[in-house]
Amino acid sequence: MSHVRSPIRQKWVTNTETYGQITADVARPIEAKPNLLWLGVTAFSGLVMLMGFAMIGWTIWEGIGTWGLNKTVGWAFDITNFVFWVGIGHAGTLISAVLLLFRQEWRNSINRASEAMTIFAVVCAGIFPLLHMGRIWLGLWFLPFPNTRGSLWVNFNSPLLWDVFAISTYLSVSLVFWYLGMIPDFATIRDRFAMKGKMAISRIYGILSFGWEGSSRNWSRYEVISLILSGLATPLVLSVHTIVSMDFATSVIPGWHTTIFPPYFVAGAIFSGFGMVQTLMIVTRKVYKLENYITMDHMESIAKIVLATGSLVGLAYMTEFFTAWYSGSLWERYIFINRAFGPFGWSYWIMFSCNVITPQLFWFRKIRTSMVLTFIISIFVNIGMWFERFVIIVTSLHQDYLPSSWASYSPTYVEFGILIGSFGLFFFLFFLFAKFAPVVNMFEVKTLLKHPKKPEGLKTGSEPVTV
Amino acid sequence: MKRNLLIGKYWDPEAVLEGLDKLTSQGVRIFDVFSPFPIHGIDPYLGSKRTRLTVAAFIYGCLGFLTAVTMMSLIYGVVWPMNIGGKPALAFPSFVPITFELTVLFAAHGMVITFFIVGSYWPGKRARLLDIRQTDDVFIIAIDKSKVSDEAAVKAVFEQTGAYDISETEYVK
Amino acid sequence: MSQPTYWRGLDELKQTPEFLEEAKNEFPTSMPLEDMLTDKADEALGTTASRRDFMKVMGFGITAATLAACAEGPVKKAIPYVNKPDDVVPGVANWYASTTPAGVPVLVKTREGRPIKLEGNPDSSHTGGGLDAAGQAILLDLYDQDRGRKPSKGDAFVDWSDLDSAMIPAFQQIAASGGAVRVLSRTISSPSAKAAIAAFLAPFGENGSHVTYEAVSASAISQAHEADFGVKAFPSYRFDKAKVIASFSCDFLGSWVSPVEFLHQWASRRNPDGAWMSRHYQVESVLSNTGANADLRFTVKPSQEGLALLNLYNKVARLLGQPSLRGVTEFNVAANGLDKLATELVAAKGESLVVCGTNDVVLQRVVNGINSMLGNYGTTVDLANPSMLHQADDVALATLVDELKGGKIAALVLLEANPVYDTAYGAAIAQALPTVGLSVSISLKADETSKFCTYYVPSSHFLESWGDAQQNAYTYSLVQPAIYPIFKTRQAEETLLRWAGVQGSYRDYVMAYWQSNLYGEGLGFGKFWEETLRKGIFTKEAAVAAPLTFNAEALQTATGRLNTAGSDLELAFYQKVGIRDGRQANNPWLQELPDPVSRVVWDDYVSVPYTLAEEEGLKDGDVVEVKAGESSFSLPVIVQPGQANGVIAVALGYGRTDAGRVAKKVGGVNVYPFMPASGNAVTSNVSMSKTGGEYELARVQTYSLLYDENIGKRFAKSWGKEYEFDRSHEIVKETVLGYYQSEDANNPYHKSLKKYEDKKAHLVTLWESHFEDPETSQYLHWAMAIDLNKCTGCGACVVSCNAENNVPVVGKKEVLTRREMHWMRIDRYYSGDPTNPDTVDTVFQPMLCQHCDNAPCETVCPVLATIHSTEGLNQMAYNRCVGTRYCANNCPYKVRRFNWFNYTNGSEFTDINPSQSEVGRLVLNPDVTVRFRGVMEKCSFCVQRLQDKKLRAKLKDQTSFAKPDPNDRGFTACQQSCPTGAIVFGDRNDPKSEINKIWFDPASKENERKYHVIEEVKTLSSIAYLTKVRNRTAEEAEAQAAAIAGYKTEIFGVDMSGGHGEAVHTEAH
Repeated sequence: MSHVRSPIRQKWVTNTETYGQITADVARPIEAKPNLLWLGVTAFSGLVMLMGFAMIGWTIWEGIGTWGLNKTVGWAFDITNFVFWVGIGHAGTLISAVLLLFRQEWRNSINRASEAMTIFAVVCAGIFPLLHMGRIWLGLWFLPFPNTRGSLWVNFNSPLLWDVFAISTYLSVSLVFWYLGMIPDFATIRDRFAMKGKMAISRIYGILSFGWEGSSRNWSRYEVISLILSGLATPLVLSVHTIVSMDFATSVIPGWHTTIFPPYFVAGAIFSGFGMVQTLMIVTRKVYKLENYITMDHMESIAKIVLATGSLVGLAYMTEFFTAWYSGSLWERYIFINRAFGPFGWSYWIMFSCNVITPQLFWFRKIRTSMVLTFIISIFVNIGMWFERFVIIVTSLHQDYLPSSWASYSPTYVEFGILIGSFGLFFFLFFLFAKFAPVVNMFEVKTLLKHPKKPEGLKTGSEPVTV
Repeated sequence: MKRNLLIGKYWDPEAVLEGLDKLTSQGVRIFDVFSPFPIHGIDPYLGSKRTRLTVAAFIYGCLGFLTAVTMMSLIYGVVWPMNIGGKPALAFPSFVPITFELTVLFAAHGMVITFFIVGSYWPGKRARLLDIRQTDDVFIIAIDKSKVSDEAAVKAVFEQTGAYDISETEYVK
Repeated sequence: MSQPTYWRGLDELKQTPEFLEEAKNEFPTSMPLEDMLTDKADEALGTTASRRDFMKVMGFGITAATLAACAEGPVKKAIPYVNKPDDVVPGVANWYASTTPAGVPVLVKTREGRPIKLEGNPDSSHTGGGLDAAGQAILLDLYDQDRGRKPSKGDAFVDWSDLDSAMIPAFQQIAASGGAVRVLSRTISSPSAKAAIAAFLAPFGENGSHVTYEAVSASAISQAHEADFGVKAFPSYRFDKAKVIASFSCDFLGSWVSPVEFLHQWASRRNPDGAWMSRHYQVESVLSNTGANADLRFTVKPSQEGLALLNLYNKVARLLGQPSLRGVTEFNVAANGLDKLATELVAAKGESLVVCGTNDVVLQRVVNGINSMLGNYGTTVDLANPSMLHQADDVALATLVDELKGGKIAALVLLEANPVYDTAYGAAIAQALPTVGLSVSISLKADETSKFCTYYVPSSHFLESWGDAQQNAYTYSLVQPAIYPIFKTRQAEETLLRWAGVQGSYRDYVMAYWQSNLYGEGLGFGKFWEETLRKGIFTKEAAVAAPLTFNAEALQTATGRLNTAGSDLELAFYQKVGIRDGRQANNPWLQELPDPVSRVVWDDYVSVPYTLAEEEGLKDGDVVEVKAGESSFSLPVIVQPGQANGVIAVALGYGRTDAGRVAKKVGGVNVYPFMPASGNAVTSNVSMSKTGGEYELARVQTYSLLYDENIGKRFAKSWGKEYEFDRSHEIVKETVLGYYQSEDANNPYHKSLKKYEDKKAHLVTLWESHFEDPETSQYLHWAMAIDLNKCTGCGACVVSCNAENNVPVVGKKEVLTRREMHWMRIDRYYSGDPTNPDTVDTVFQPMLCQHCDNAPCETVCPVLATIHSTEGLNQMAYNRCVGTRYCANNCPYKVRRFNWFNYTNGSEFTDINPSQSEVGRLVLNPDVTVRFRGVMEKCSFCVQRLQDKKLRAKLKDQTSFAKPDPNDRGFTACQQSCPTGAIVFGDRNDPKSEINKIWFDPASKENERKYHVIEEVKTLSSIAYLTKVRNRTAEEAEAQAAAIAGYKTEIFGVDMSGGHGEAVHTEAH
């Protein structure tokens, strides 16, 4: 493919002389014995996850009635969580795909982890569309398969069905993309264990690495398909959140029936995704001492994206109000006024301050470069984006057309349990990944290292080996 | 098949490119280069054709597109026309999202699977390495002995361009 | 429990050879299946089958069904008949004419021997084929698991034979010793029952007498007529003949005496396009269902009612140049309403009607005075043909209580009477009963009174009994069983006759009575009897009214008492439309029926007027202690607009301790002990104090506003009028007769019409319609029109729908979380100035699935569980539904209901949901699926009934193109039971149908009044609403608009005058 090297704008790898060092640094956590810290956090998130599963079990056993929903507010935490997690997922794909297309070399050291984040987030998201069904055991009916119930098919007009296709495509494609990226690194790990003579472990990674040898002919194919995959993933990621937003945009409920939703949701998704990337990266680079690969410059560029998308989201909020006013429809106007000043006004203001005001702090370099502050802000962003979905869903529903049906909504412990449980699941998966897979894409980072020093311990006359 | 290979091991990708440049200018055909990461600008020296995976991806995409359109049109147009919310049975605008998703799905997966088949990769396949460090920090130029007339010249080039180890070995693949 | 019944039925089936004998020659060989499906079935059955035998077979059938029903889950296995009764075609309903205890002629729908639905008898001139909520719900009392199942003495059960052999000598002995025997009963409208009681009392000579009482008595009316005209009777009122109706706290549309009859009469004159539309004044203290439907409503305290009537009397007298009463304190309602009323009454002389619901002889005599001055006797008040539906005699009751206290009674027999609970003498009677030698309580279930009786004797439900009823002097109807007694019960009359030594079945007794008393000449009695039994109704010639003279002087002396001022706080008692006097307190359908006005279910409360609440700082749910005289009680508060200032009100019929499990769940306070001897309110030393406690009241409509006033307040001020966000005109349209009839194109009504037309022109759709031009269309298109002018919000349709469609009862907790399951609800909105009760208007809007042709719900269902039929129905496939609730979210009318739990066996719904008790689930309609948890449900336009009608039509005409009778009154359950005929339903493509005219005929006035709710969403709803037209003049309308504007201006702090011209709805709580 490209014979042109993209000019190096910035030094994305610091205090590193040899390729071997990169391998060593990244592989260290995998080779080392699991430390107490890791065991602790993994066990904890595991427990939280199990609690979530218990709540899910209770819901399925007893019925959706265990939630706080009612005849007027038919969705709340369930779909809020769904949209929230899908949104989180988007940053990963964006970093790995879009930035690859744009030749943003700084993505190389963070794409692996953020892709992992994508996968796990989408896994969490996937739970909810299933779980919110009154009869989850009939989930199969979402698929258009020929059946014996006479001629009976699915509704291709329903955004919910579009979701099914979008989410499954998104999950599987991201999974492939992620795994493809890990194959060469698994090979590296394989060989390191082989060198150390730990053949058993080496074999496991050998299986995972599909027998990768690093032959240039395959490298060139490999790069081509990575590029095409990013080419496919980019519109895919946009389409996914567009479709998610259509769950609302195609309805007739004031506050949902809004054409601005697709771009607004995508912006929001990237925003929340990068928020989560910040949270994860700050922890990972600290715990795994990867400051040389996930540098301050990385953190800064992420912060800048958060700032940009945050402002976009803020713009969207204001546009909504303008449109409502400009539409001249009392229903529209009312729902937005009610959103900000009605019974659920508090949630609106949480959303607004977290998503629009806090990110503005990133204008200051001092704050961008302070990991503590960045971490705190990233948490706020996550909270804010969860509330954005809550606000859109609940405030629009609880007072729609006929005042006789207006109702309030208050969640039950079951709903909270499931929400918290989904975080448990997410972090549990992420910790497992961080222990057993290279959190930084070694081979891509190596391409960033210019003029390496001569490594030590180069042996001559070594015989070919089969691993 | 069994091959005898002349191999030069490097630790610097720049040197590898230099070596390849020299060798090819002497008309030596490169068997393969093994590297921990893709060395940009290496393809011309390998003399390998541009991969046709892109074309494959396109075809798979079209396949997905057709599948989606025919499925939905058949179901709603022929098998089961329905009055859903007063919309016409064939409401094409609402077919767009699913059509797009299936296109992407087919293209992506079709292409990747093809890649694994072409490169003959599968879970558990054994890797044959000329050097255990070739996935870490060692770069290897391999040349098919039977295809070169003047081995000395080749070794000389390895020498000049800073290969730290030059050897001959049997390679089964 | 079903076991003994089962064998009993079988035994009889075995033991009666003559039955088998008859059964043989019973086969009507000439009867093809089709006839079975048509009305001929009943006819044939009436003429060939002997009902007793039919009952026996039914006995077997029903018990078989009972057994089947005892499987967990609603009827799962069907037990085939051993001998199929000839007139039962499985899957095809049989209909029997009967009459409810309230005297409403009904048709009973039975399936395989189970009554599953009551419907008003369309042939009845008395009710016009309607049935009210309580009447609909009485079906469920048949399957009440708390019914009495065996006679008992104390705690021990007694066999019928032992009981009889004990009672007969006991009564003979009393007769011999000349002891006094009393039969205490509620109103008994049945002549043969009266005869039976007489027969029972005969042996005791003058020592025996029959006392009739009513929990909520109107005895004063008959007493007043005795005093004034010497006729102790309850006149028949004719609201259909009254051009001006003046009702003084008389809830005749809701709970008073015979609502179905009155609703029918009243509604017949509420058509703004009719020859004339009645003008309805309501003067009352509590906002009753009737008051909510009045044209002009004035509030007075209960204590001021007398003054109001006296003043009205004098004003009328003055206008008519007759002597007025002396020494009457001047009094008038707001805006000199009484003068206006008097003038209009006089203008409509002879065609006006004054009624008073207060049980006070003097008030009633004043009313009589006014009516006779106006010459209403003989036209709107018919004393010559008195009503038989209310025969309470307070005097007799009082005497009986004294006799009891004095220990003068040897034996007391209570027929469906529960005086310990529902009279002011409760405590006294409870004390005295044990001292009575022999006290027998014969009633459907052991109640508060039975506890104190020597014997409790279960009686049969009217659906298990024979009998007759007399609505008024000339209207009769029959009662026939539709099912073999479910438990070991015997109908009360039969029991009494047994004890009187009369053998033979009660059916024969009734027949004998009719033969000797009612059967005139002509076709032999047999034919006459079968004919009447089939029709269920029998009418004689009405008597001609004799002229009456009213003695004003006599009245003068009596009126002194009325000149009282009353006190600052008065406590009024009223009946709720559903619960009424509390007899049916154990009926979950009624407990979950929202009160039309307060919209509260499952709860008892004190309603406090808006202004008083503001002063006292009371809000919904605050618990208050009400002290009346010495005793007191605590109840939560409901803030009630439109209630007279200085009056708090509590409903009767709550606080039942021995009515059953459902009633237990409700609790509340029994306020009968507070009922004064005369009047329905405590007018002195009443006090109310906050206890600080809080209580959650389950309301199905928490917001009674048409927009959020708080937001209105905040934004109207700074951003101008439209930011009060009043969208009321999109939902409810109303105007006044003054505007409606005027030609002036600039009056608000015509202006709004114009606006509406322009708007409709802008409603466009992307797609072309699926429905062909109605002219050419081969298909039917079902559609409904609801006349807001006729709908009184009585809730009959709601209960009818519950019964027809197996709608689960979910109980208070679920309603609190806003999960009520009713497919049909009646939205209630207020307008006016809440601080001034006289200006508070109420409007009722039945809301059900709109079956939109562009249904938002259909588009979003991922699995196509809800799609559109070629007949315009929005169908719901329960089996396909996976329960995403997306459809409900996307429904602008919020009429879809989700099964949050498994109501058919979730533990928290046991005792509440009928389908959980093994008897209760017999009420389920086999034509309608019982929905499982996780499934969405909603109004289906009673598709099972529509299919039935179509099939019958096809069978009749023997063609597949046959369309059902366009003007059938019974397409949907709601339409069928609506007592006012507010619901029009039919095939809108059928030019012969009424709905077609409303829909398409621009010439018809209905078409002009037709509109759809939130039409701008372009859902193409299949339900049209007809604009409400209040009978008011333009001036009155302007005054009302001004009042509202004034109130808003005050709360919004910005000039709100103008508005929509139409009545502008505003918050009221």
